[in-house]
Amino acid sequence: MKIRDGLRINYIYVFFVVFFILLFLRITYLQVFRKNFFQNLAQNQYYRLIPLSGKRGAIFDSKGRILATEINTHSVFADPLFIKDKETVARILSENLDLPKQKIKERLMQKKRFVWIKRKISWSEKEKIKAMKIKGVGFLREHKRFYPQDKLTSSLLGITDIDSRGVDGLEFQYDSYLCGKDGMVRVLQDSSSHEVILTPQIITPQEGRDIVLTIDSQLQYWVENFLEETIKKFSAKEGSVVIMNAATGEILVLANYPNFNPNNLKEFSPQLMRDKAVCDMFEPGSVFKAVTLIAAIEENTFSDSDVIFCENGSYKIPGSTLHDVHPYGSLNFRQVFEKSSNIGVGKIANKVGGQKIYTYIKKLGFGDKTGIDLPGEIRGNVKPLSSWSKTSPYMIPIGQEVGVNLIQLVRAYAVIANGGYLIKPHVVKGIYSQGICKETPVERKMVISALTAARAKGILEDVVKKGTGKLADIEGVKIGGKTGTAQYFDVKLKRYSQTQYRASFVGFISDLDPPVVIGVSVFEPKGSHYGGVVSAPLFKKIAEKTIKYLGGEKMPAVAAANQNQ
Amino acid sequence: MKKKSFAIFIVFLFIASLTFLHQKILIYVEAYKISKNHRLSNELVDKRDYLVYNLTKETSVQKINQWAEKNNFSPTEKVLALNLRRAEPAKPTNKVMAMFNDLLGIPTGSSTALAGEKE
Repeated sequence: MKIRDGLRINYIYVFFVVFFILLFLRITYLQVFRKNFFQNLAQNQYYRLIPLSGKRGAIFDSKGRILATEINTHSVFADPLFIKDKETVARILSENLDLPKQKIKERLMQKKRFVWIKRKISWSEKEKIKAMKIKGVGFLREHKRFYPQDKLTSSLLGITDIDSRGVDGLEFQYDSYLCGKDGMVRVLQDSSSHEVILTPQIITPQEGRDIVLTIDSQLQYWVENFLEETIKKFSAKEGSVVIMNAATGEILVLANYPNFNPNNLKEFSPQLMRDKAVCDMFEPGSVFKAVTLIAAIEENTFSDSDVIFCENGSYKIPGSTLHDVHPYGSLNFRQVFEKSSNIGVGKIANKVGGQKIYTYIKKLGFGDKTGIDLPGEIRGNVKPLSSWSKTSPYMIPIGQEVGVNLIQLVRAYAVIANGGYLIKPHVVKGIYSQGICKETPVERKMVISALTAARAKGILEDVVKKGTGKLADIEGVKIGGKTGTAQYFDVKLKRYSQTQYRASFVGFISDLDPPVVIGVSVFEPKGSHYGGVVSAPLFKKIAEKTIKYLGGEKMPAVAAANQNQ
Repeated sequence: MKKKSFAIFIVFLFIASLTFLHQKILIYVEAYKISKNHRLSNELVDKRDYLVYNLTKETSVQKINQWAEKNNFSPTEKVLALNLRRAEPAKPTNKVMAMFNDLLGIPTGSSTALAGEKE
């Protein structure tokens, strides 16, 4: 009996020893070999990672007015696992968030732990839903891009997507600077899913850099209004205006009409968003005659008194016939440009020579991108000399068979206004980051002599005083410029349209120091299609405001006129 | 003696553990308080942002210009110049006081600043 009892005890002893050894091995396995797995599992339950989004940089105008900024907002999400009555929750959310009930229900039916209901809602919407205390519905703090000036400068600024990434305009071009870097914070989470800030581990988010533009939004406002008035008056399709500081290349105004409200992307369309001044190519017409003017002066081919016979309005050239709107007989060199005679300019260009005209076209920056810091700039179309037809030496100098954008034209006229320098236009004045500013340098190179520029300036001032640009004239102020009326080349029909025109005026205010160049282009005006009738008055309105705003007191002529009043 | 020392040790250990636990709880209580304040501060920041949003929207270039056009408001185009003139100093009757004022550089008389419109 005793032996049996001893055996039993031994069995129990062995059993327990084996049990504890197995237990020890299991514990060792769990604690040593599976340590990381279980540690992660526990940490995932105890800790929560909260993303901290790096705020996107703001965009200011040259006077410090906010053009684009970020505001805090909330997005609604749901954890479908927690929502039992999906039908009711979908109905409540639909009523308060202005979303279709079915769409919400579909999202709630998904077998996920996280679904977006609506992103970037208003404060009142958030407060309403929060007050309902719906289980399984939560909010995440996010940033939202906000454009306080609404439509103003919209085509220049562009837009961002829902995740605050730039998709067009300046927002796209400077996305790498504007974009902040996201951070993260790890906090403890209690049993009720409340965040407890206990020894938080933070990866600090980095704010994006702020950008200061050369644009003046007050001037932009006036110009956009004037442009809209003109477009409506002439029932035109679209139009653009550019104002540039001729000495530095700073773009003071870049206006397009029609435009869009970046705060309301429901009315958005890619056509509205296109920056027409930069991305649209057109045949410039007579505004391009400035190239021939410069070439003839720089090459010393003509003096002011040289007479050119303008064939009384019709002149046969190889392969075509040149016409003038008004027939002219003999005109001197200056008068050819004052009256904008196609025949006169054609003859001047022919004497200067195709090779040299081509050289000056390239020298003035046509056919190449200006390098403006905006996306989608069109290069334009300047045929290489080898591709010129028999008509090209006559047609190109009068602004046909050549494609340009408005910025290129403004830059070419700036060469005349600033004494011979080809400048790189820019819209960003500087990029600011933590008190450090990286300013955009002025890039320029001399392409014509100061004397040539001065002589061309004088002739273009006469165009405004006595010639086709009379409606742009402001009494007591020196203004130079050139009108342009170009027929639209219909690519589908492969011929010039008889109804579609582009009326342009590009000019400069010589009296301002530094001078400014203003380029105006209106597409498909009705009633009248002449640059001198449609665009010159618009130029005048803009020039008057610009002079007043940018400091007429500095201009002796204007100051004298003011004193006489 | 040994028993007494052991008892004291146990009591000491108990008190130390209790204090440790108390401190640990206090840390959690503070953490909860901070979390609550953090939440509150976030809510206030949000409210402020919405107010700034409304303010910025109402003071945009467009709104200001529209208001100016509606009310025919135009800033003066002539430059206002401040014509700062100092009035003739009134001479003190007391010679000692005058000398004292001169020594310390105390100005006498009243100065006037007149704003005049430059014609």
